[in-house]
Amino acid sequence: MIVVFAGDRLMGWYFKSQVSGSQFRYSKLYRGDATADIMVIGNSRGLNIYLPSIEALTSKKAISLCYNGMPGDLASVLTRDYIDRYPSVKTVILELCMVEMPDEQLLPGFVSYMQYSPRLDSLIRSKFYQTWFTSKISHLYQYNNEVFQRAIYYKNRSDNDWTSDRSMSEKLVKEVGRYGMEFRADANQLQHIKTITDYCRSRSIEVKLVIAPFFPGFVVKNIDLLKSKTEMMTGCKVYDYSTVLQNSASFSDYLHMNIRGCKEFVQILDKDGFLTPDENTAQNNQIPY
Amino acid sequence: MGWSLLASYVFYGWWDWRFLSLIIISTVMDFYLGSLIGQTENPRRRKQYIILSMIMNLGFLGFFKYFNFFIDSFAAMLQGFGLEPSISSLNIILPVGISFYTFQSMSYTIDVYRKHIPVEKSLLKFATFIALFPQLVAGPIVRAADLLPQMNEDKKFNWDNFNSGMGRILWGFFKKVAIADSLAPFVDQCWADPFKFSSLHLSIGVVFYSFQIYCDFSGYSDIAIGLARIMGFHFPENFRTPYFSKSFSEFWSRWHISLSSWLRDYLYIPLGGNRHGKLSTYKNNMITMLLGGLWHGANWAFVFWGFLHGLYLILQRIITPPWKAIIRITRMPKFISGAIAIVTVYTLTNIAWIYFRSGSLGDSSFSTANQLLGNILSFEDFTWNGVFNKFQIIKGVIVIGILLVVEISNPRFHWNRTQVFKPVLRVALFAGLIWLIALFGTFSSNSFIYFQF
Repeated sequence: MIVVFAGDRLMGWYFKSQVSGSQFRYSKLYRGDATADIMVIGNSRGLNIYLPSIEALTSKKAISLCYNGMPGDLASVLTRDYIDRYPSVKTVILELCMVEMPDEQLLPGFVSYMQYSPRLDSLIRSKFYQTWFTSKISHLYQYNNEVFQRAIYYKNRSDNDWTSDRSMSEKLVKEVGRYGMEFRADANQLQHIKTITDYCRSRSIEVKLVIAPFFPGFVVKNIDLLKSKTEMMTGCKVYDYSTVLQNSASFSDYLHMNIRGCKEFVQILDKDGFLTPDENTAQNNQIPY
Repeated sequence: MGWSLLASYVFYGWWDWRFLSLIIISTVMDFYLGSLIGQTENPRRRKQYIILSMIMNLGFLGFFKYFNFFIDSFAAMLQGFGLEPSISSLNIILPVGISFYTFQSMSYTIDVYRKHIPVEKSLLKFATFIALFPQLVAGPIVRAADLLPQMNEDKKFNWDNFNSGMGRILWGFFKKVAIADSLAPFVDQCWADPFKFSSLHLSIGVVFYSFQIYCDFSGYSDIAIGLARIMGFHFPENFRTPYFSKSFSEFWSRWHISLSSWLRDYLYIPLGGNRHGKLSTYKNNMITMLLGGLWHGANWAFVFWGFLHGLYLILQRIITPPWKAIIRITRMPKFISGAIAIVTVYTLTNIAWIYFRSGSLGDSSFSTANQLLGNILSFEDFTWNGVFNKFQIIKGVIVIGILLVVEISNPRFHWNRTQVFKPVLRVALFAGLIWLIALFGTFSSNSFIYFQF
C-alpha cells in the first residue's frame, strides 16, 4: 500500500506539473496567462467562434473557454473564475446552444483543475461526490479524463484554432431531412446563463449571447422559444445566426462548421459590428423591458 | 461447503430471489436423476433418465430464454405467408446465468450417463458445484469432472492461492474497467447510428468492439478464476489470447473455451464430429455453431453470427490444403504466412462481431449490422480527418497496447505465476495495475456483457 500511495502521489505531482505548464485554455486560465479583450464560452458550437479570425479582424486578443458538451453550471464557474482573474476583459461572447445539449459527464473531467478553483471544487463535490472523493484519495485519478489528455496534447502548442475541420459526405448532406432537434429552453440551464450575464454586468463587462449557424435544412424546433425565454430571464438580446450560412461546404456536420464556415461566420459577425464592444458596454445589448 | 452454498444463493438471490427456486429445482432434479442413472445398469432406464434431465434443463432454458423468440419468429413466418396470426408473447424475465448453470448441470448428468464420472452422493456438494458464486452468472462453465472432485478437498487459506487469485482479479478488473468500459462509449456511438460516421471511424469502432467484448468477458473470467483460486478452487482457463489464432478451429480452442469445449464434447462429437466424411463434418460444424450462436441470445443476429463462424470453419477445411501448397511452393517464410493467417482470422471474426453486437438491438439488429458493414466497405471518407472523438481513440489504443504487451510477453514471463514466488515483482505488478486502473478506469457501472446471456 505504501508503494501504491507513494507512486500515486509522485505520478500525480508529475501530471500536475504537466497540466499547469500546458498551453491548454484552462491551464492558461488558472496559471494567470489568459489575458484577453474577448472571452468566448460555450460548447463545441462555441468552438466555431474562431479565435484566429477574431484576432485577425479586430486586432484584439481573444480566448475561448469552450469545450464539447459544456454544461451551464460549469460554464458559469469558468466564466466567473475568468472574470475574477482577468477583470480587464471587455466582452464575453456566449454561444447559447450549450443550454440545449449539456454533457453532464463532462464535469468530472475537470477534476484535473479542481485544485486551482474553489468554485470548481465545490461544484464537482456537490454533483459528483464519488469522483471528488476518489480524486482526493488518488491523485492519479485526477488525471483520468479527456480534459487532461487535451492538456497534454496542447502542452507545447496553442489551442486557439481548436475546432473540427472536415467536409460532409454527399450522403450526409442528402440525408439532412432525417435529422433534427428540438430545443427545450430548460429553466435550470437558463438560470446558469443568467448567473453569467448578471456577473458580467456587475463588473461592467459586455456580454453577448449568440446562436451560431446550423447546417442549412437541419430542422431546429423552438429556437424562438429559447430566444424569448433567454431574453426574458437575462434581459440580454440573443443574436440569432442559426441560418446565416447556406453553403453545405461550410460545415463539418449538421451542428458544426468547419474552418471555412468558422471564418465566414466570424466575418459576418465582424461586419455586423458584433465583435466591436460598445463604449457603454454592459448596458447596450440589454433589452429595455 | 455450506457457507459457500449459502453465500452463492444470497449472491444470486440479491438479483432476484424468485429465481432461486429455479436453480434449486434444477439442482435437485439433476442430483436425483444423476443418482437414478448411477443406480441402474439397464440401458433403457438410463436413457430415459438422461432424456428426462435434458428435457427439464432445455425446457427451462427454452422457456425463459427462447419462448418469445420462437413465438415472434413463428408469427413473422405466418405473416410472411400473408396470414395475420393473433399470437401474443409473454413478459418473461431472463434469469441471469441460466445458460451457464444449465450447461454446467447438464454436463454432470451426461458424464454420469457416459460413466465418465461417479455419481455425487452429497446434495450439498452438488448444489455448491452448480451455484458456486464466482462462476454462477457468467461462467466459465466448469464441468462436473473438474469441480466436483475439488469439493472433497479440505479448503484452507493459502497465501499462494491468495496472491495468485488477487493477481487474476486485478488483471481482470483492469481489463473490464480500463479497457472494455473505456472502449464502450465509442463503440455504442457507432452502433447507435452508423449512418453518421465515416468508414474509418466505424472500422475503428469494430476493432474496439472486438477488444471490448474480449476484455469484458475474459476480464470477468479472470475475476471468477481469481476469486475461486482464493477460495481454494481451480477453474479451467476460459481464454488464451484468441486474436492470435491462425485458424478458426484454433480460435475456438482459445475463445470461451469452456463453452466451445462443452459444445464440442456434448454436441459436435455426438453428432459424429469429423468421422463420417466431409459433408457430414461440414453439417456438424454448422449445427454446432448455429446452436452456439443461439446459446448467446434469442435473436437471429446471434444465429447469423454462429452461421458465419460455421461457414468460416467449413471454408477453412476447404481452403487449408491449397493454402498449404502455396506456402510450400512459394517457400513463404513462416512468420509471413502466420501473419496473413492471423490477420485473416481476425478480420473475418470482426465481420461476425458486427452481427453479434447488433444482436441486442432487437428488430433493427440486421439493418444496423448491414448498414455498418456497408459503410465500412464503401471506404467513404477513410481518412483520419473523418474520425470523431480522437481522444477516446488515443485512450483506447493505449489500453489495448498495454493488453497486447502483457499478453504477448506472458508466455515467456508467466507474470501471474512468477509473482506468487517473487514478492518484489508482486508489489510492482499489483501497484502498477492499481495505478493503471486509477488512470484509465471508467467507473460508470457498466454491467458485464455476458450477464445478458
